[in-house]
Amino acid sequence: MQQLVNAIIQFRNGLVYLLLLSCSIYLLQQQSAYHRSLIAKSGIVIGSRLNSMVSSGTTYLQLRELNDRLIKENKILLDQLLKTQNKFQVLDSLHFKAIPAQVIRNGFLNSYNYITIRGGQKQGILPEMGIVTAKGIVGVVQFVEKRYAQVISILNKDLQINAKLKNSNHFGSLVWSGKDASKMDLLDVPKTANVKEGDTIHTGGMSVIFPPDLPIGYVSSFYSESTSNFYDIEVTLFQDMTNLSTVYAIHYPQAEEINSVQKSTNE
Amino acid sequence: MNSKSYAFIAYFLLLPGLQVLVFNQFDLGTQLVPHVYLLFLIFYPSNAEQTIFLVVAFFFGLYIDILHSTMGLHAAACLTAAFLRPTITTSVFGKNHGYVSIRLNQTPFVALSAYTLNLVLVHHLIYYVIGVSSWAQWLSIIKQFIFGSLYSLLFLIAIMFLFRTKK
Repeated sequence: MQQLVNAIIQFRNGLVYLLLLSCSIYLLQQQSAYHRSLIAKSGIVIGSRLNSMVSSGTTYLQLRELNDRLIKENKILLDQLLKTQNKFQVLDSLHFKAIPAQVIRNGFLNSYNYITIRGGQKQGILPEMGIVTAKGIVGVVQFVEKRYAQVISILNKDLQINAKLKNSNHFGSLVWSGKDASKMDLLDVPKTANVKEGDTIHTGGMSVIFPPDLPIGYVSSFYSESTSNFYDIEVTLFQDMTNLSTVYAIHYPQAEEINSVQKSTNE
Repeated sequence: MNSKSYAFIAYFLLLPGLQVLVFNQFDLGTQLVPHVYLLFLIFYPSNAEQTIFLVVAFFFGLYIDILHSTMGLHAAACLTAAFLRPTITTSVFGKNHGYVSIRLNQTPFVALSAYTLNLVLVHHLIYYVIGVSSWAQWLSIIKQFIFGSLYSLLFLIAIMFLFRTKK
């Protein structure tokens, strides 16, 4: 017993090292988004203050560039509005409202990336809202503080997004493989779909998170094994995820109602 | 608790803030950031109890992780750098050094740079290997490791050079 205690005292540095290393790897490898968010929530309070200080300085220096980008975004939005105004008269009851917010921190290096935005409960942002830009989708709100919110980036292996081919309305789920910040994979598209390179991918609108028919990206390559009934499609995103400034949270008034209906059918 | 430990408590609290506010702005586009907070691990008294140093380094890394929302990544890297620091000190300064602290104004600059290089390499190796999303990116891990280390080292040596007072 004495020898054991002596040995422990002698190798205490190694033991402490291994213990703390496994602690940090455990924190890093937390697969459950819930546990991750518990820890991250404490961080967002300090972290977001500091980051918003930084971003208030840098955004001032980038005003000119930001203006150009906003003008371009406005133009794209206006084009879309004009195009869709005639087409979707039927869906008039589905009015989505966009809440603007500023990105103050954007991660894209790890396999589970998160974005912090300035804009929270005060602006009307709620958990599980979709975050978009004029060029595509960005992520889903995870939790909200008074003035800040944390967003699960689409560059996060936990997130699956319902998406469809623009031409044929075949649905699939969009996931990130973790390799390239500009590419995602559209899985489970049946082989009956007629896929071509360059086809546009839109949001599917099967959930209340993203409105239907928002452009996401285009098909850059696709393949399928002969034994499988599905295509694996590689999608190149329209939105450069490494360069985000102003984003919009999508507020959908009937979200709660639809969710409760879906829940009751599941039970 | 002497005046020196108060100084290190101040460094513990201030360096990560400085890292986020100032040095993260020197981003070279692809997440290559000079990790200047390593100054804390470099100048932490080497005659202090190693076990306590490990715990301090872990919480220091965790504190930086909170500011960057990368849970555990900096903690693992800082911890490993702290764990291997005695080995690096003996290999750079020789065996007899063990009981003298590393001081900016007293340690020869070349030896200090070599010691910094080793510490940066250990830290960045762990940082990029653990932090990367998949092994398919091994080429980018190596690239980022090499350029990230050089970039951090450049900043660290420049800072040490600036704050070194000539006698």
